[in-house]
Amino acid sequence: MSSISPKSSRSSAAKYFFKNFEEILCSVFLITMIALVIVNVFLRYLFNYSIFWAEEVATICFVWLVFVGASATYKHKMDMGIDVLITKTPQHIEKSIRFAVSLILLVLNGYIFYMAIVFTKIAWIKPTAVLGISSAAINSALIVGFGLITFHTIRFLHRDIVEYLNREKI
Amino acid sequence: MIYLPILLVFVLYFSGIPIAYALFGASIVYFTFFDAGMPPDLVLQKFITATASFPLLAIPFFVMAGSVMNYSGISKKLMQMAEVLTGHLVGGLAQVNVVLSTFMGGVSGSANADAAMQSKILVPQMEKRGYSREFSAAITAASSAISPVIPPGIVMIIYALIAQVSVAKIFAAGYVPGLIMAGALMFTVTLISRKRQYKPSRDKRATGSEMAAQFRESIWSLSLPFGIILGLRFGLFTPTEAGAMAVLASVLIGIFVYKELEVAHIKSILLDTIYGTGTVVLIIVSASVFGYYLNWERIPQELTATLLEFTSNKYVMLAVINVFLLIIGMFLEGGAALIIIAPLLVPVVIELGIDPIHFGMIMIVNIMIGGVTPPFGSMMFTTCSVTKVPVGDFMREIWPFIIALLIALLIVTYAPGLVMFLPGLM
Repeated sequence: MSSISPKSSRSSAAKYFFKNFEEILCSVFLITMIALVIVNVFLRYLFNYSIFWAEEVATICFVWLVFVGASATYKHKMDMGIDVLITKTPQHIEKSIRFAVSLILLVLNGYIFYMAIVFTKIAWIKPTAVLGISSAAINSALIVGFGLITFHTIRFLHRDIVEYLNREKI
Repeated sequence: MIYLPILLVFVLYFSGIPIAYALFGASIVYFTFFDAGMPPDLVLQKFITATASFPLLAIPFFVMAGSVMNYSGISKKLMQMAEVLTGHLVGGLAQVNVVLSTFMGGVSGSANADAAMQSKILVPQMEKRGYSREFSAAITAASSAISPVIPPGIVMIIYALIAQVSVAKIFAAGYVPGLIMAGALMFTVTLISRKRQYKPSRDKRATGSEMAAQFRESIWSLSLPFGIILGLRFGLFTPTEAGAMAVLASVLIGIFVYKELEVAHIKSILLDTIYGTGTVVLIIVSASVFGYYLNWERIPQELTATLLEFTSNKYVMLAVINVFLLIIGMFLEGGAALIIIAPLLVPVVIELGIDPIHFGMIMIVNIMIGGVTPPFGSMMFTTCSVTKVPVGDFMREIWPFIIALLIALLIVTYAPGLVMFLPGLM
């Protein structure tokens, strides 16, 4: 560790942060969420008291955990699907199907991302039930989640195209 | 025309798009192009309302509790207990495999996690003792179907939320079906082991004091699920709070009792939970958005009417539904299948006077069998990929176990008294 200069360790820390951005963000939400629920149970039994906003804040954290977490699983291609059928087709057909699938996913995720922005704007003035803050606190989880998912979709598509072009050259 | 979105889901799914995105895609196509009654950006409201629900928080909590238990030495203690109980039987390690899955149901409650864990730990040991690798993989996959049926389980929580039944009751209903499945598999193991001369793993039956000692050591792992069920039953906490308390309890057991939980495990536990939640809840959200289209077109009502027209005999209906579910389960991962199908079928069975808790157990057992059945069973894939057994060889070994599980399913379906006995006590 001592051989690494401060500058390069800072840049590798930044790299780690961006590579695991979703995971780090989700960990914060997850820990906040579970801490609030556990503390509230103890307060209820020990002091007959409960934090009135705990449930709402925990639920907001959960929404963020779900949509940012969805980007994490998307990034690692962990979502449940089957590609057994298309791997059975001849290679050039498989390639075209995979390319078409990437395009469909790009259109779909990009569209959801766009609609998330529109929707968050429309619902901006609507307050949350307990704290009365703007519902954008919840809705913007969709923007961040699907924004990241769209980003990964573009990244995958870019990689596929580069791979495809290189193959042509050989 | 109104069925086009359903067709679209299948087309997208079979071309390799993850199920959650296939459902999103079909729903959005529907609300954008077919039905102008709702502005498409309001579909996004559905994304949020489907997710922002406090009961759903139980899912990440129970996923996390399962992960903590894996790292805190609880699984290891359960394995020693399984070995002491069944090691002396014919086909010792294969029996241990089944019993461990049954115990693990009280811990992880996820069939895929259980299949992966036992493929890594037990299959190499079984191979060393002369079991063929294909057989070891087959019994590992088959027995992993038991874990989600034994409480607490994430699939059971999801069903309880969909069918609006008590989580405590559905948990209590799981024990008997789980034990029936375990019994059926152990019987099959005995038959096969006799024929192939698979030996016991210990020379003789464990003595009473040996068993008692092991039991004392494993008591914390074994009693946690009962604590959760009793807490729910007596209204000490909601299912969500129960999940959070299960995390807390397993952390404390891991630190102070078994002393195996370390700071270094935190990262893996967080990642397990984030990935587990990301995949499962996104499917729930997408299915609920898709359900919006189904209800908009009154498809569940039509399905109910069509099914009831076909037969109003509940035993025939259960047979029809079972066959239908087995086919669905072969193509879709268990949790996803349940999330999509349960809202459609629960109204039908209630109409026929079938208890939704009993039906929940039928659905869960059934869909788990689909998970070990070729061509797309998810536990089959997990086991084959970890053990590196080709699917073809796996298929030759799995069929006796599938028959055993199907017999268990028949019992669960047609002996509601057995299933409903424990929840009836609550």
